[in-house]
Amino acid sequence: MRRIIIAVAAIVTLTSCGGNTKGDIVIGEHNHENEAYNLSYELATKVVEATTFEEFKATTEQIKAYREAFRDQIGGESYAIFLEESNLILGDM
Amino acid sequence: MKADTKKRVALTTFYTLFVVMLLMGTRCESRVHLTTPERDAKHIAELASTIHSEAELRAVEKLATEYEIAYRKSYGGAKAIYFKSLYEPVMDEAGERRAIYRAEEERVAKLEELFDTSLSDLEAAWQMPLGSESDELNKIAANNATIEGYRAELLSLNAEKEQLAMDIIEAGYPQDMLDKIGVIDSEVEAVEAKIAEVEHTNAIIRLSNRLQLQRELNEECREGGSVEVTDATNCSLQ
Repeated sequence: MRRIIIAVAAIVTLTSCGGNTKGDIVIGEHNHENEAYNLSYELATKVVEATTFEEFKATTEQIKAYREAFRDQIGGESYAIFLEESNLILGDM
Repeated sequence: MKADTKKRVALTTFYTLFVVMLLMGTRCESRVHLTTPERDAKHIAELASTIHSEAELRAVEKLATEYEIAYRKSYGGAKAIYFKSLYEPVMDEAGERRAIYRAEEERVAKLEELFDTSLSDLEAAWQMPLGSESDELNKIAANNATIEGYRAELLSLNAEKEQLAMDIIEAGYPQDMLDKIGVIDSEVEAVEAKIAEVEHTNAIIRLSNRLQLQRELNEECREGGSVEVTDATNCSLQ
C-alpha cells in the first residue's frame, strides 16, 4: 500500500513539474522590450514566408504561443509592441 | 419601596443598553471605523494608489463615500466636508489614471483583434483553391459587380428612407410609419453586411494570389543559386 502511495505521489510530482510546450517559452524579465521587437519580426516573417500550409500552421502556432507568453508573463507595453510589430508584418501581405 | 428601586434600576439598565445597541448598530451599518480625517484619508489614498481596474476604482470610491457618510453621521457636516476635501483630489487622480489604463486596454484589444484577423485571413487565403490568373481576376470582377448591385440597392433604400422621413413629418409621426423606418434601417444594415462580406472575399482572393506569388518568387530564388541571390530581402515581394 505504501509503495503504491509513493508511486502515485512521484507520478503526480513529475506531472506537475513537467510543464507543457507553452510553459517552455520564457520571456526574459529584463530585456523583454527588445525581445518583443525581435521575436515579433522573426515569427511574423516566418508566418508570411511559409512555403507550405503545414509550415504556415506550425509558424502560426508558434507566434500564437509567444503572444500568449508575452501576454501572461510580461503584459504591458512589451505585449503591445509584440502585437503591433507582428501586425505590421502580417497585415502587410 | 425596595421593589420600586429595583424596577427603576432595571429600566435604567435596559434603556442604557438600548441606546448602546443603537449606537453600535449605526457603527456596524457604516462598516467603517473612524479614526481621524487625516488618517482615514491617508488610508483611502493608499488604497487609491493601487487602483488598476474599474472595479477597484468603484470599490475605493464606495469606501470613501462610506467614510464620508460615517463622518457626517458621527461628527456632522463640517468634518465630513473636511474629510472629503482630503480624499477627493486623490480619487480624482485615481480616476484619471484609470482612464489612461482604460485607453491602453482598448488599444491592446484592437491590436489583439487585428492580430487574430490577420492570422485567420492568412489561413483562409492558404485554404482558398487558386485558379489561373485570369480566373482569379474574373472572380474579383464578378464580386465587384455584385458589390455594385448591393450599392444600388443601398442607394434605393436610402432614398426610400428619406422620402418616408418627410412623409412621417407631414403625417405627424404615426407609429406604423416609424416602424417602417426601423425595417428599412435593418435592411440597410443587412445590405452593408453583404457588401463587407464580398469585399472581404475579394481581399482574401488578392491575399491568396500574393501568397502564391511569394511562394513562386521564393522558389525562383532558391533555384537561382546561392551565388547571385544570397540576400533574402531581394526575394521578397515589394
